[in-house]
Amino acid sequence: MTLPSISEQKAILQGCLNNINHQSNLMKQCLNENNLLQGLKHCSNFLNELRTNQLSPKQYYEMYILIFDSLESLSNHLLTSHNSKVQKLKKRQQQQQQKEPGSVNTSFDNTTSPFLSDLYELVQYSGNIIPRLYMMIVIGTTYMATSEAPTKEIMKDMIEMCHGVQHPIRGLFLRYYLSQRTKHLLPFSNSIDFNETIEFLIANFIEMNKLWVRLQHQGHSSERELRYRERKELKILVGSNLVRLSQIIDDYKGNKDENYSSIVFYKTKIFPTITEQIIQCRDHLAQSYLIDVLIQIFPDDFHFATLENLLNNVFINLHPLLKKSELISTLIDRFITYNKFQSDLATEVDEKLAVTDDIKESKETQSHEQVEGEAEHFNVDVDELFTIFWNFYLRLYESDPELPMEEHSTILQFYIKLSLVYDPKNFRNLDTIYKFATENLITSDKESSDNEELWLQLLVVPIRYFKSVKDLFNLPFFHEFYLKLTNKSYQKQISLEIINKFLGISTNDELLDISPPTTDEFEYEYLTTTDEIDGIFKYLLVLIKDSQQQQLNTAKNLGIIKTIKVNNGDNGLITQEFLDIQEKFCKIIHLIENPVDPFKNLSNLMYARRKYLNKNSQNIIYTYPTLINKILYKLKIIGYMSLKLKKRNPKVDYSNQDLLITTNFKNVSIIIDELYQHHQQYSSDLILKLYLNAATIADQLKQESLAYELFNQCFIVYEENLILSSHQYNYYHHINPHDSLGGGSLPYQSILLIGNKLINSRYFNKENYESLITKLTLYGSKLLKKQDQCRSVYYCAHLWWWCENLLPPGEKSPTVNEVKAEEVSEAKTEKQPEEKVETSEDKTDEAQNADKQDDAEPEEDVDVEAGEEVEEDEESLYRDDKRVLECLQKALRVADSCMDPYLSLKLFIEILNRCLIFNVYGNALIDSRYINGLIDLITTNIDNLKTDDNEAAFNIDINDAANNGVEEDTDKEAKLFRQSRNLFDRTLSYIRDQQINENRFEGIIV
Amino acid sequence: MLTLAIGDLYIPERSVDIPSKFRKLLSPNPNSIPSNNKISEVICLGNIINSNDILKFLYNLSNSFHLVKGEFDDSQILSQQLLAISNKDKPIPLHNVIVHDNLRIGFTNGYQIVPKNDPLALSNVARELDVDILIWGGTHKVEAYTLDGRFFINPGSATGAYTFDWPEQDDAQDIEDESDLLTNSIDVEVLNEVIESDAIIPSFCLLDTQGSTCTLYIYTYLGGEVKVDKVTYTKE
Amino acid sequence: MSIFFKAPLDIDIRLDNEDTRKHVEVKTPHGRMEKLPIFKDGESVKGQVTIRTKEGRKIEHFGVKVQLFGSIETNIDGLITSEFLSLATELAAPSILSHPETYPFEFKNVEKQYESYRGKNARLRYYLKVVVSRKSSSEITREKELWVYQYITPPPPTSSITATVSKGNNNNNHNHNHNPVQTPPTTPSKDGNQTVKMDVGIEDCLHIEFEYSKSRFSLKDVIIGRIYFLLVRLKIKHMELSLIRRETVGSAPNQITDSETVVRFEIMDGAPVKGEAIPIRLFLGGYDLTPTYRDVNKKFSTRTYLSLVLIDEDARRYFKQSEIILYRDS
Repeated sequence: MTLPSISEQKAILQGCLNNINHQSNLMKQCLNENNLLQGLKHCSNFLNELRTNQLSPKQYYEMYILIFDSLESLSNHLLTSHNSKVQKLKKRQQQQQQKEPGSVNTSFDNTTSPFLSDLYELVQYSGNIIPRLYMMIVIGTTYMATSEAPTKEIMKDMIEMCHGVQHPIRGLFLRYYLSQRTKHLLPFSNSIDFNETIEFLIANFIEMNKLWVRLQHQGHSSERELRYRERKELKILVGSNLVRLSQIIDDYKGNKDENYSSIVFYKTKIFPTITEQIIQCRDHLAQSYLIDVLIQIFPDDFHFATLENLLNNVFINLHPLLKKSELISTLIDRFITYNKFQSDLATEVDEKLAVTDDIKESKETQSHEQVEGEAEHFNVDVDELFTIFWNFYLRLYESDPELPMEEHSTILQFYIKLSLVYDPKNFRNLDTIYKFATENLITSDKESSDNEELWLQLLVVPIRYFKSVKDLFNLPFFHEFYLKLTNKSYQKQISLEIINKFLGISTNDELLDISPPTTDEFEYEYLTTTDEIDGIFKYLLVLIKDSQQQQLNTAKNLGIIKTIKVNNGDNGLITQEFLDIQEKFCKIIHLIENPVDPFKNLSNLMYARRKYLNKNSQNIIYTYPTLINKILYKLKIIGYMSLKLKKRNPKVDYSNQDLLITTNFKNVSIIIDELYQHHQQYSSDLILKLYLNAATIADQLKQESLAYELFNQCFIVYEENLILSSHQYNYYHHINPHDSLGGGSLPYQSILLIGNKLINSRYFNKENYESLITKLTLYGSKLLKKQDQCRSVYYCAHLWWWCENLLPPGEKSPTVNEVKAEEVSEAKTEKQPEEKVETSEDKTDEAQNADKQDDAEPEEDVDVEAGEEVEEDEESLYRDDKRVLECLQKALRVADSCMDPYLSLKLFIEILNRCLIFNVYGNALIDSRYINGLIDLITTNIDNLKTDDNEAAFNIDINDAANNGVEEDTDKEAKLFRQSRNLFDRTLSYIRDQQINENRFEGIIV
Repeated sequence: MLTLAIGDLYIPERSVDIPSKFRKLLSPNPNSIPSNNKISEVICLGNIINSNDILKFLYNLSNSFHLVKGEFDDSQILSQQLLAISNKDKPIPLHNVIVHDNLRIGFTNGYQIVPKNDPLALSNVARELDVDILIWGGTHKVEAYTLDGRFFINPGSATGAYTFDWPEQDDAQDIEDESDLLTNSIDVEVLNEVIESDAIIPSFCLLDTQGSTCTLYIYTYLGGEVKVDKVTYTKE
Repeated sequence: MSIFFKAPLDIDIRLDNEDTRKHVEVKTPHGRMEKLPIFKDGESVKGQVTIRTKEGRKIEHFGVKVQLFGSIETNIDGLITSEFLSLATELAAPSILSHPETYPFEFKNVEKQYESYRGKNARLRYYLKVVVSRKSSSEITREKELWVYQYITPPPPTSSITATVSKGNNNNNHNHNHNPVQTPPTTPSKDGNQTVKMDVGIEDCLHIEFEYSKSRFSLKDVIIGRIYFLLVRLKIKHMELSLIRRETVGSAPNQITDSETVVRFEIMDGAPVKGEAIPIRLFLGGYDLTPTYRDVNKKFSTRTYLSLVLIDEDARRYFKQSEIILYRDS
């Protein structure tokens, strides 16, 4: 059977349609003229078109539709004429009865029905089977629609006679017509009728399926694909029978038969017949489609009741190439939807009850019972369900060793989903799956490692679904299975999934088509025990140990992954991906938390470091700072707590806790040291900061010796690595030296950092404090560049002049206490280390002083006023006006020694501003006289530079275009000069403002 | 014109993320760029640490992103990350100045100011930069005040990252006297007190600048709720 | 014929109750339809003959008689007529007719052995013939044909035949032990009321079995049956059932057989597969069928054959015929 070409087919179809329309119109005309026999002839004529062999199923369907409508009009006509005949008869009867009231009329039944039943016989003379059967059906069903028809006989006859059409397409449409026409006429008012109707539908289904399957084998074998496609187009015709079946079952309510149960009926009657047919047809398409329909069409309860059979007797026996996983997935999806629907229902009920609860609290118990009643309704035993599925899987596994791994993977994935949705807390079932997979599916040979991607999903699904990552702890075989993945990158993917889940990073990916119970706000879970740490970190170890290197190489080769240079590019390249993972690690460290037991928390952090975090030096640099900061913070909390307790209960001995704190500080410094060992060369500035933090905390916690030692560590780091930072950190080298905030060198920055920490330390005794600040100032004075020297020295001046108390109320700083006690007696001995600075300063100092300290007289007045303001605080603040002055003097000398006059000028102005601060803060030595001297100095310098400037400008005018480079240069200088003068102007106007508004700076001449 | 000032995030070093309510508030359309069409400029005061994610988040908020280096930032990594996001190779400065109408706004992380956080030192910086508004950070405490005719803004830490500075001193504390003599077990109450007194409240600021006036909106996140305060500054 | 000769007499034969008697329409050899009264075997033939003279003339005759004939005409080598029945009654003695005269007649309980039949090469007819003898010219005759049906009381009651007769579930579990080769039909038993089963096939190609409810059918009957496909290797396109009437005249070697397909009826569309059972239902009442006549007076027979035809995709036809007995049912 070869079909004509497409264009020919179109022409043929058009011809058919035209003829149908034509004949159909003729038929209607005849019917209007009450010429029934002629009408039937036309009907038969257009039905003859359905005998064609030359159209595709789609085109045939088009024709079918047209014919269907025409036949409907015939049916309507017959029905109306039937009814009018009945009417007439009734009338005549009534008249007869009126005439002869006594006689009982018997001819009623005999005379009404024959009209249609005669027609039913008449059309059977039609010589061709297709028109004959269509006419039989249209008349038969019309007859069925009347009240006195022998419905069941007609049904049986029609379905029996349909056997005559064995041509697949024509047969399918014919039987579809039968099913469409009978749709609303099937009797099911009592159990006998119901049973026969069911038989009718099943019979039609079976025959249609046979025809459908047979279509595959029609025609030449080269058209197999075409046939397959055609069959797909026709599948709905077959499926419609099952739909109808399901509706009938649904509609039939048992009719007084109390023992009737639709589930039982389905289980004993429908299911076996249908599934047998599905198995018997041994057709791939039919099986996959019909099983799908079966699953979709019938209610879930039915499937629960027949599940075991469906799996073990049906699925197992299907076409070996049919993907069982698809069927399983449909089925499980169905169950999952069911579950979701039921639980939605339950919550709705809950909500409703909640409302009523509010109103009538007394009825609380009653309504709770109701809830339970509702809940029972969908109480499916997960274990039982799972066991059935699981046994099926085992059978499948044994019966089909060739089953592809994709199938295994998909099926197990759906099992996991099922278990998760029905009972997320049921870990036994999940673990069964992982156990089996670990032991049977995953092997270390080559082939299986190719399949590993499949297994990934098995592991990912529960991670995403679980409410808590910690649920994984209940699945010992999850980890076993995870370990069996030989491809590290898959392990990493899983590990990342775990991290993401833990951190609440949503991976919006269509993979998880079941959505876990949603929570509005993500709440972090804490790892509070070492077991929990182990539970999570055992998955993270692969990311720690097996990081970076080979990944980077492949990336290089492919040139895909963007890299980031670290350590100024000296053999330092990392990927952003690596950084991202490190970032996540750090976040996990934050989740090692125990809000109620900081001691435990500390030991856990230490545990995590020892066991996991120190496994790879690459990671250490990115994870340790977090770890160290976290430990320090916890120490801070513990320390403050301990201080508070001590204060409250002075008699109690807290040495135990003290010891603990000391130990932990030592531990911290060991950790910092470990980081230092690994990353000394490139990350010493970071390490310095960590030490500084530790030192700060130690000081706050009154651990003076620890704090002192930690500051010393800072100096060691400084001396060992930062003092000569030629190899690193040239990031801000291009910065303009005029810019006081711009940066400067790394050692300069380090000094500022240390300085800022020292300024805020309060619990050193004076001796230690001064030794530290003196040392720092000395470092500052030895920096390479003049501007760095100058600035660090004037900044260091602040170390001798505290402005804030910082301590808790009632606390006194030991630094200050000693000042009081020692100032009188031991001041001399302290001077020793400082003198080094002083002596070097003094030489130039005197020269400068000669210029500036001309009028020192008004100093006293200012001092008194300022003194009064700060009187109360002064006691608790460490202040040494002389040392401040010394520092400023030193800064002036350095500024003066600059080769660049513009830079000198800028630095002078900066020092002036610094002096203003000290003046406000009440340093008696930085008085108006001193400041006036400084202003004079600056003014003189400006004047000097002005002439230079003018000269330069003049020179440029002469040289004009000849010397562009010079022009730019001097231009730049001019700009700097202008900026400095502007700053100076702003400073002066600030002074003026303050004089007016705040009564400050009295005596300063602007 | 709205400008966001935000800083001291410390992700991941001291904090996991900014509060999700802040995220939603700042980025109403997370999938478009810019993700907030009301904010015209973002000023970040540094201490982002290595979180590319949060950098991207801040960068995508508006069409203009200004970043200064924070104390703990690794300028090398940060600048390369920013390069990858923005395709513009610019060094990350320690301070910067932008001009809105009549207002010059300077900003810096402030860790290189000695003494850190000292009002006079800050005033000095403002004078040097010749700005009307100085935004600084590094203290994790949100504050805003006018001094000597200039406006000083510290937007605090958007994540509430902890610091190692001295805790804020609360005078009214420690009057109660409990005779709880348990030595080695932890007194949860005391623990909580300590944690509370040391807690940092997540915050950021929005500057609405117009002419010579800046209206500052201070957003804080306390007890799961976002609170907004308003301060207005007008340049004389 | 005599009408055209302007015979001086009008002869009119009227049967009793002719108006109410059942008639049958049959085709004349000229193709026209004529209506004939129906008589049964053993039924008396009764009526009147009326003779009128034309235009009041007086006609002398030598006597009037009425005859009843039964004859068979065959056409093998020319027309041969043989009578198997001949009855006569004198109606009037020789006299002169001047007024119309009416003579009643009656043949009592005439045995009519055969049915009337008009086939292609054979005819069987019954007719009345009135002869008025005259001395000079030839006699004046008048004929009137009767149509005789022989009703056979139906054999022990079969299932009542309605429009929805189909009975019996088509269970496919027939155990067939037949040879796949062609086998003759099982001869219908005398009463012909048993089901007829046939098992036919082409070796390794087709094997079917068919079954009719019986082999004797009344003319208003329905043929019911089914066809089982036991082996199908042919590419069948469709299947038909036809009824063939076969008339045989004369005896061997001078025998002429004529076949005519009376009914052609498609019973299957498309190719069945092994195990299919195709139902057969053919209403006979609507067709013009002839009961089975066997060796009517050793002159001719008509038989009806049921033929099952399979047509394959290459339009080859495979068929199997079997005779069915038709009879007239009252």
